[in-house]
Amino acid sequence: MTPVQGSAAEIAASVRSGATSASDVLAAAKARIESADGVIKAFTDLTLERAERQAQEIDAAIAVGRDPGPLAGVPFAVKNLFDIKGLPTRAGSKINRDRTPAIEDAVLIRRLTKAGAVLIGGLNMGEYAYDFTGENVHDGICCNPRNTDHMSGGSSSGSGAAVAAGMVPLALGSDTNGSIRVPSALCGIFGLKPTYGRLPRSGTFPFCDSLDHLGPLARSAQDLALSFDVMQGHDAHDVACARKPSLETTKTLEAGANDLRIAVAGDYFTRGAKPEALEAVAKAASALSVTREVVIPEAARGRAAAFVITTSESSALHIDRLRMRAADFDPDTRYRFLSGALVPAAWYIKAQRFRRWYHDQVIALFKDVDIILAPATPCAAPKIGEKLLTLGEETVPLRPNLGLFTQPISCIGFPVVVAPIQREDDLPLGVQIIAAPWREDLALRVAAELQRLGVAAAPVATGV
Amino acid sequence: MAVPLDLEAYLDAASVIVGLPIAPEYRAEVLANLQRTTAIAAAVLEFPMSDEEEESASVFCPGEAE
Repeated sequence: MTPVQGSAAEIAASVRSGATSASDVLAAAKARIESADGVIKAFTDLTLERAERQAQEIDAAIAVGRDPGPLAGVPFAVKNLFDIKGLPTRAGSKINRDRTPAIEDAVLIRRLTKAGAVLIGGLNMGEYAYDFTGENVHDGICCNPRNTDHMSGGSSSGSGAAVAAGMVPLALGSDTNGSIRVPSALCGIFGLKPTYGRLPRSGTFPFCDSLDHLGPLARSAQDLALSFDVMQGHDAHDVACARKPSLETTKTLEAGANDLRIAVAGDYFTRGAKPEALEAVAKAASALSVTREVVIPEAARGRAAAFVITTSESSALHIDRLRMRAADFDPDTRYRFLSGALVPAAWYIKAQRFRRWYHDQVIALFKDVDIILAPATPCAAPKIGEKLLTLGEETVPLRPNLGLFTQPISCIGFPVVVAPIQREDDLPLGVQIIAAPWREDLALRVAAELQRLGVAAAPVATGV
Repeated sequence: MAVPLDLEAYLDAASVIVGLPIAPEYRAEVLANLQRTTAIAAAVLEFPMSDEEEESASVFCPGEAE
């Protein structure tokens, strides 16, 4: 194992103790990218010059006994909708490459950097984040490192692939309808979509303001917790960012799950999935001795509301670009943005009203339960280019159905950790660990417990 | 499912009102997606809600600026 293929916690401990240098870790990350990314296509930009400078500063700080932070020397990369100083924020598009280069890093990059983590680049993504597959006509298809004939999932495709392939131990992504959770599940890694309003989105290119979340992807629950803890805190430039006290999730991570009331999501979350997706949930439930089932009421309508809100808001955001440069959009997003611009306001407003009602029902459910388990995707990573998903006798369009189980949860902003369930000689699946708003600590505890029990794991994909 | 004629008429009229002409080569896909959106939105629109349940999920807080 090279120095970059340990966890973020291991890398930081090694760098802080002086056993490894930040510069050596960075060199290993660079070597791994050079050997694997020609095939995988996770990175769209490398920022190695600034990374080398920062790594040298960290090594110099350690040499004189200064503390460079809890993530000292940990290389990370970000979905390319995060502002990176000096680069145009492309958000997976051709059009945005004409934007003025960002004058500073996004807030979350600044917070990770302050904690000692080292930004090494921007990552591939579905155009304007309207994607579940990892396919991008401008930057190429981001492949799944566990089998490069298969999709990485999207829209944080590069984030999932770079972490699974061991190019970085930590990446940032965004999740509006499932864009952290789908690639985490398909690439077999851990991902955290925090509560809506928890992490500031300042300095990122939006998709749908009512539903956009940012969060980390990593190969352990501990690394999610470590990065989450240093990224929390209010920022006034994101009007949706809540003034909530920060959690110290690393302190409670090893507390186990015995005192938590955990249930499996029934009804909607047991339909429309391949058997293996439900088996992954059953495996996690069995390991945690969970037998209880609860029904999230009106989940299908929650998904429909998320769809209407997404198509309306995102098309309004892009309307000038649609007027001026429709031909420059990815063909897979263009027709959806054009169509969304024509949705009547009354539909959108009813969707927002329904969302409030649905939120209140699910909050009531959480009076009696701490954690709900559900599948992350209805299937393991499909082959690249597949358009249809066969479920028993029924065949449905693949692209929208990859978000079947994630959309009803992000619609109401509840926090979710995806825990990866590996399968022998087959592609992994993910389990959503859903908590009540502002209780990311509980979801992370359950993910850590599944990892301790050997049920969830995210080894580096070494085949590429 | 055949596209109802009135949805085609809606697309044409709405694209004029919105000021977003749909090029002929994109029209079929846009129409199909609008049809799909209509079907999905129906699930939300048909859900009965009283006047008392009129609160929207989007909240506006006066008194704070960036």
